[in-house]
Amino acid sequence: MNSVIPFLPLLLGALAAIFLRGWLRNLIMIAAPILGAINLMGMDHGVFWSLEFMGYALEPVKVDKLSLMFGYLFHLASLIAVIYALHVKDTVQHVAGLAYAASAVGAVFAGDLLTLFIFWELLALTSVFLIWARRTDRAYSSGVRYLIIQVLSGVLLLVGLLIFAQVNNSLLFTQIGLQHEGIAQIGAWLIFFGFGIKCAFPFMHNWLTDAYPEATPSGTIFLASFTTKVAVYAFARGFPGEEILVWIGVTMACFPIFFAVIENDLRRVLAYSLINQIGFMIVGIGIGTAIALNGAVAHAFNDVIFKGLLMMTMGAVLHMTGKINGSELGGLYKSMPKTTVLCIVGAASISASRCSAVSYQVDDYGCRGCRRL
Amino acid sequence: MLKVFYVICGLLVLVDFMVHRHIYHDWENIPAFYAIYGFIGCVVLVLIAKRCVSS
Repeated sequence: MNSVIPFLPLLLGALAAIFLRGWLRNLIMIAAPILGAINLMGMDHGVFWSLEFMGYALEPVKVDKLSLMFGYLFHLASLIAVIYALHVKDTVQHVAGLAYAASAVGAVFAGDLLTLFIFWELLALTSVFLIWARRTDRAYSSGVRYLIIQVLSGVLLLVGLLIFAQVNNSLLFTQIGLQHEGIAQIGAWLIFFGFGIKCAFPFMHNWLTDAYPEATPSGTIFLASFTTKVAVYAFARGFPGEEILVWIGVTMACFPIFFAVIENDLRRVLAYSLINQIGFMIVGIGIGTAIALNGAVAHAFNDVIFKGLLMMTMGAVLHMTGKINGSELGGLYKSMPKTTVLCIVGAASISASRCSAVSYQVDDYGCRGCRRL
Repeated sequence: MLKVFYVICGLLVLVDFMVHRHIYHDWENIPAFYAIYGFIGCVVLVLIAKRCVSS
């Protein structure tokens, strides 16, 4: 086994970005996700690193098919986002973006709940700088609200994992489920809601539509790719086949559309659309069969790519025009033809048009998964 | 640009008569079912959304 810890290349990239400038920083930032993905290819399944802490066995790095899939996804997403962010001359965004990606990779390879909690909080701490980097009063207060909610999610996870550690005498992150006796039941629900906040469950989703549209154009690409997908991974690992997830997912898939169609801020429209897409993944996890979980993970892959593309086009519009409200924009196909074409590609993909990845996925998993129901 | 959009919408309705679909429900036999379904769906969506915001 010649590989290093999965999040290390991205973390080193972030640290290097603090000190380097110019083309050398750009080179390192592009190299970090590529080297990270190559590193993943060489990893064997199983526990990569284990240690003991206060009598509990910890597995800070554990590799299996599910974590590897999300690992590859996050490296791909960070490469795309880094390339988009290269033109920005802002050290804060570069460092925060890569550190945020490293936290997401760390979270999906965490084999125990304590390591998951640490990366869960690091996700919040690193990503908030992508919102504050907008350097406006609105972005600052939005970032503070975002941080409070994210830390609350972490606290729920911490209390839940402490209860579980007490009852089961183990911190390992395996299937948790909601069927328990006594105090373990409370612990399971606390972890469930901790994951749920990060996943933007209905009534817990406001942080997402509040904060993502206030982030910098480049920052939103990072934000749209990681936090919610880590929560989707956590549900797939901890709560597959819980029927309540089907109902929550269906609600998430429907209600944001009502808000999206009358929203003027185009990046907020995409934020609502993001919740809607996560809803489909949560339904898949709630169904819980192997094929439904495959579909959920495949959809996470697609969503990062097409939502990333749509967020990039909106970021480009905001960057060029300084405006993002639909009512103030128009005729952009004349001044920004390439962006227009790419936006249409993204919109066609999210609509599951023929030849798009989603249409194949719907054929492959959606139809077969539904027939199984 | 809007004209192009209307032409594409019209073509999609016409294509609906020619392309063979895998039908799961009898309603799908109604001519131009998906165009009507999409249109009514969007109108209802916006009306409900507006009501939600104004109330």
